[in-house]
Amino acid sequence: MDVPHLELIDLHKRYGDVAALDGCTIGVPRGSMFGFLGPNGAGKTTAMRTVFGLVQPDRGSIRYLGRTIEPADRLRFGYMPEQRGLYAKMGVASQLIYFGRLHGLAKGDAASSTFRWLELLGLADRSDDRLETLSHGNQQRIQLAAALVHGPELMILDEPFSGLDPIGVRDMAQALKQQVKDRNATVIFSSHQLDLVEDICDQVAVINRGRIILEGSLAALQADSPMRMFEIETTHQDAEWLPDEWREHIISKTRGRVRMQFQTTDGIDPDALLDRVRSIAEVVAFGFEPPSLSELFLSTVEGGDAP
Amino acid sequence: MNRPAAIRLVMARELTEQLKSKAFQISTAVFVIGILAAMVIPTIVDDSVDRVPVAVTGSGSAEIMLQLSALGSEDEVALGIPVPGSGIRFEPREVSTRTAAVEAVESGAVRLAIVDGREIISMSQPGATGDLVEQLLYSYEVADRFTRSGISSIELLAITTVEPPTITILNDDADESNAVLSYVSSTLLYITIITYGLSVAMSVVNEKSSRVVEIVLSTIRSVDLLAGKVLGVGATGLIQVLAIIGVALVTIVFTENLPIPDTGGVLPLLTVAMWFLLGYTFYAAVYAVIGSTISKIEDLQGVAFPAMVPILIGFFISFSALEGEETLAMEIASFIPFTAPLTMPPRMLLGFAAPWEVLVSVALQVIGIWVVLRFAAKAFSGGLLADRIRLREVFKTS
Repeated sequence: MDVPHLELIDLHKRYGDVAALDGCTIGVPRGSMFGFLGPNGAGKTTAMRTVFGLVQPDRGSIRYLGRTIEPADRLRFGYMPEQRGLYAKMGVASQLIYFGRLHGLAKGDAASSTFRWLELLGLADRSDDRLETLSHGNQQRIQLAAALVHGPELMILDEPFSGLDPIGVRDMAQALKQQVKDRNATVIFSSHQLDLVEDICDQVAVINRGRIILEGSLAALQADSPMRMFEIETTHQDAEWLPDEWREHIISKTRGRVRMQFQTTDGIDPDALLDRVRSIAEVVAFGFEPPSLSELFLSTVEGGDAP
Repeated sequence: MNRPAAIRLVMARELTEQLKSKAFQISTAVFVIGILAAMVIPTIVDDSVDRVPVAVTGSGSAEIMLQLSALGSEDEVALGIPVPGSGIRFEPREVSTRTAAVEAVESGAVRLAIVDGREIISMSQPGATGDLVEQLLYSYEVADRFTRSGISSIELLAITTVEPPTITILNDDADESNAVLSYVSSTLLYITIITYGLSVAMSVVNEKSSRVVEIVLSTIRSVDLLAGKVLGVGATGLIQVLAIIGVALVTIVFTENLPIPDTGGVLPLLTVAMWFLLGYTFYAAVYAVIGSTISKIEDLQGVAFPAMVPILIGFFISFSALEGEETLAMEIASFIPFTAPLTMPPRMLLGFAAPWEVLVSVALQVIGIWVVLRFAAKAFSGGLLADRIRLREVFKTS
């Protein structure tokens, strides 16, 4: 297997009595779209900050391409912190050029990259305006440009989609996928929008209480999960028809649609399930599938450390 | 990117943004206009003329009145009368008798009365104004005698016109112009050190409150960010100080309101500029740490005040320089890095400070700067990502 692009190895960080990181270990493959998930306060932001040296871990190390990370390596990274921030009173283009140059670009390269990004984001006509005169959504776009202007090979984005409208989300996802596809760049991002993560990520890691409780390719994680989801829609507008022995498996009921969760160890046969339903109600739709990312997430986070 | 390049980049951004800021442009304009107003307006509207009513009676009245009126005006030079003082305008009026003249003095209608060109009547000792009249009457009498002995007033003018003697001052320690200059310079230092020290703190707080600092620190070291900020804001301050001093010097030359000190215009300028740099750098580091402990600009006033106290104390101590005297407090304060930037420049400008004292004071200041910068560099990173931390915790993390 290839050397991971970035590795967090056994990171520990305490703030007083709180263990923000408690043996956090992650390996991020090159060219992956990596979803970094976890409930609030699980340690996502702290873990991301350690990569940039903004937080010094008490223990553990960060490795880049298999060796200890150095400050110069970070210039090839792009960072979008959880708490957004740019220079409100500075011109749009001049601050993007500034960020490009902070990452080591020559003046001319920083300028041409800036105008390419502004063109791409449809903000070329606003290049001389002060940032604070832009709408919230456009400021978010500039924030993304600030993280990407120097053409980073690895991007770490803390909640890049939060606060965006559906169009903003689509554009942002598109831009990130493009980075992975065109330049074999690696994108690590955290998000609470699990459906979105499921759509665009090929790799995920779930952190809880400072340690990783789930990590790997999304498809493999889903297939390996002992959970199987049984979803059925009948002409009945309620779930009254359900046999009593299934009631404890119900996860959600929406009008005529019922979603139930079984374990592979339950010895469920999908055909038998379907036959059973047919004998009671008229079936409109039927599904038997591995858990969604969101179900996987909830079961691992709520079910403790073991997946 | 290498570290000097990072520092240069931060500095350039800081300088550009500061120069573009309204605060800088307005304060520079206010300073320049203030200096122009203080120096130019008095020379245009000279309102300090003392008007002295004088009663004249008896022989020679007409001629004496003519000369009194001319005194202090542009005509006086043409009349060949020595110019003993400016700022006095005589307003002569003729009275009929000596008795009327005495009455006019007694009633306060006039300050002085002149009888027959040989007697001056005044309520009390006539003082400088009386001397002036006395001199005028003397010149008048002399000129009259020359005329009577056949020498014309034109010939007399040719004889009596002499170049004024040159004046050599051996000890100009208490020179008034230097006292004013030292007062102006310590005021300038006081205002600019506080202004630009606070600018550094504000620049730090702004980056913290806008959260942009996290992106900046993901690329460069906090020490380099600190250095770039201090240099960039300092360069802005130096530009303003030099602009203000430049305008002041040009104004002095054009209005001749103040004689340029014998040391020339350049030395005081360099003194002030050097102490601005020393004092500013010292306090900029202090203010940077203060700024790093808070994340809202509203909180700045409260946390910045303690650092202003020593500046204020230094400023007040420097007032004694205005009296042209040196106090022990001033001498001591000029060696303490917290107050030296405000108290050593006046001592230097007034010639109180011996060269060795200046050297020791500058050396102590440089050591002070080194200590503060070293500490600031460590403390600075401790506060940058925290919302609000106590200074004590900053000390601890460093």
